[in-house]
Amino acid sequence: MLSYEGFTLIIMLFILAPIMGAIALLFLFIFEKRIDLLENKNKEIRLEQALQEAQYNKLNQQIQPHFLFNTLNVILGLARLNRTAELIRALEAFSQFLKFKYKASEPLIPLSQEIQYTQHYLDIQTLRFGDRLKIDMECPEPLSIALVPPFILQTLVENSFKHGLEKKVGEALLHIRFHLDSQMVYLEVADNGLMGNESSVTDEGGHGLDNIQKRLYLYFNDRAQLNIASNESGTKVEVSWPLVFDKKLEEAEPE
Amino acid sequence: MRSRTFQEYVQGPIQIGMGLGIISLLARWVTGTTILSSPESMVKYGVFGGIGYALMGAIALSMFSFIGKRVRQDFPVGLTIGDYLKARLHPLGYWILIVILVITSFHILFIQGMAASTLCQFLFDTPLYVGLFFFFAFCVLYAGFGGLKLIHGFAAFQVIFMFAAVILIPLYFFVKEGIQPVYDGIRLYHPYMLVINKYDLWSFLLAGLLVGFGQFFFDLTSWQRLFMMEMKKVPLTFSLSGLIWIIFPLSFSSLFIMVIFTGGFTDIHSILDGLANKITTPFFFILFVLCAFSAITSTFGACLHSLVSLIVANILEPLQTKKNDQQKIRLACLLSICIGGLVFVATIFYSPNLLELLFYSGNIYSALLAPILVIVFSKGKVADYIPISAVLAIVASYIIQPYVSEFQSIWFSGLASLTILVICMILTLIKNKWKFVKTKP
Repeated sequence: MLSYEGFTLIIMLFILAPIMGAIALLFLFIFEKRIDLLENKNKEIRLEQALQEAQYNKLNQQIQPHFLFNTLNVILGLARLNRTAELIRALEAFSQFLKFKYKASEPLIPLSQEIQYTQHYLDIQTLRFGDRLKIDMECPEPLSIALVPPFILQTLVENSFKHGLEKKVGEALLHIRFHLDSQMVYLEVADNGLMGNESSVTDEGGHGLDNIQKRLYLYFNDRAQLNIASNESGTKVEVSWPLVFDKKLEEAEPE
Repeated sequence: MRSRTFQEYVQGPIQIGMGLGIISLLARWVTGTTILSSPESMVKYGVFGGIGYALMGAIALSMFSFIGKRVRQDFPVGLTIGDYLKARLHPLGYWILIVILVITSFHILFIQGMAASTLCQFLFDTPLYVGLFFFFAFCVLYAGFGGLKLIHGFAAFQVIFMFAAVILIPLYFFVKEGIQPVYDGIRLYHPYMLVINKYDLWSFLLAGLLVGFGQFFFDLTSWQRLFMMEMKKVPLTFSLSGLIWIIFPLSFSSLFIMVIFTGGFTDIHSILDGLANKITTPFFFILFVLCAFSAITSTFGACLHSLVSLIVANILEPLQTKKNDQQKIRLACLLSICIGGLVFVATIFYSPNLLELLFYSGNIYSALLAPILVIVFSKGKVADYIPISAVLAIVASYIIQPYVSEFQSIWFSGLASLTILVICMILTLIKNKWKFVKTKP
């Protein structure tokens, strides 16, 4: 049998519970927007930091003396042979490539832009490798206005050269494929390069991949994925993230 | 206020945050049944019956956060539960669950209609159909025609009325009368209400948990709100909604305690009459009426809107050629009028007891619990035997219902679907293993 004290406690609970509930709801309404704002600011700052880190990594790792000398040697060779048209194209590609390193500051850029900048890097590599290099890039037209985190394609392509194709004797193959499935953008970068050992990717290329993973997580949480698979016939990296469009570009796109 | 697209009609113009999410869920889940059944369960199973009723609902609503999180991770974009089921089930299983969803939604609308008729009888001297006509017309207009934008506009006011009533009325009464006379009165007239270890109480709580879980996990409106919320806020919104929801049945129970301590009563109508005599201040009486109507209209409106959205998006669309957004909205309005009219006629001509009605549907919800959990927590498309297990369990439980108690048929229903599922899963596993052994060279 419930005692009087117990009954009093229950009645107090019945009376106090709605008051507490109302206060909790009121608190939520007043502070939810502010908490969201602070959270977004925090996320924005972390994204900016990650992007700066990515830019720093690019400058620090990829414009290495090794790459720079090789490219300059190719350019010098073209100058000595008086192949002016190719020389101009090489210098143009090289300067455009360097320019992007300083330019990208948005957390998301249109895919066409990312492809264009990666193309400058690929142009330089084509000059270096000559006919040995076969590049195969597939990107559905509607995806060109989809937004992607900058440097993702470029980092993966550069990793393919750095860890696989540079050491490859004979034909060097690089497959780049974008596709759309269930509102998710998929990017596959596969090469037939020879992996010296597994650790080289995680140690040297690790910074680049870590940075990609970090930025994808900051922007898309668990909805973005990065997978890497390596064997004797080459390396395949697959990245996926939710489809996002730039509203302005989408409106400008003809029907 | 007219919606521009069908998506806007169903989901509103923007994603909702935690505050609006909780308001929206409270508007759905503080229902006519909460007002009338929680005191009835207290009267039947004692003070702890009332507390148990509140706890069951709160636990079930909080637990939905786990389901919600998983669903949004696997299926981030959608409008209704139908969209999710379509992605996870084969056509046969999909249509089975859609039919059950439509039946249970009609049942919820009917229960709200019954609650409204109880309140109309208590308040107005006019014939019942006049009061009910205005009630249904109001709900069809604001929820069926207005879409989610108007539902949320009204929900804020409805929840304010509900909070004002449950805070002010008991506070005013207990400060004025004190607790001692109430305790003495209950001990004198209804001493069983103060007893804790009544066997029936535990049966009630166990059956209630099964029904509560099934009901919350298989509710059109909850799923629709789930797809509107910002993904990261889903778990916390549902957990907090459960925590805040608990106060409503508790407070409505305390309102009825204020009446029954002065003497005996025959049924819920006599308690309502007693309450009208007890709340002598016009302000509090109006507040109580507003609170009751808010609870009933908000639930009816939310359920009507969800049902109409499901029918247009998941039943009519796959069956006919594609319509444009404005045609879909017009169709939704027309369906709202039809459903409103149908429930109006059913309420006028049929009047079962409320708690009886709740237990009648208990078998369905209890049978659905295990299948819905399996659907949500398994990967890829799920087999047809999962929804079929629910149907078999429902049929079996209704067959044995005349021979067992209400609670036992609910337990049987839940247990039957679970058993069928487990047996089918084991059989599938053995079959797959056998296939593997046979194909191995």
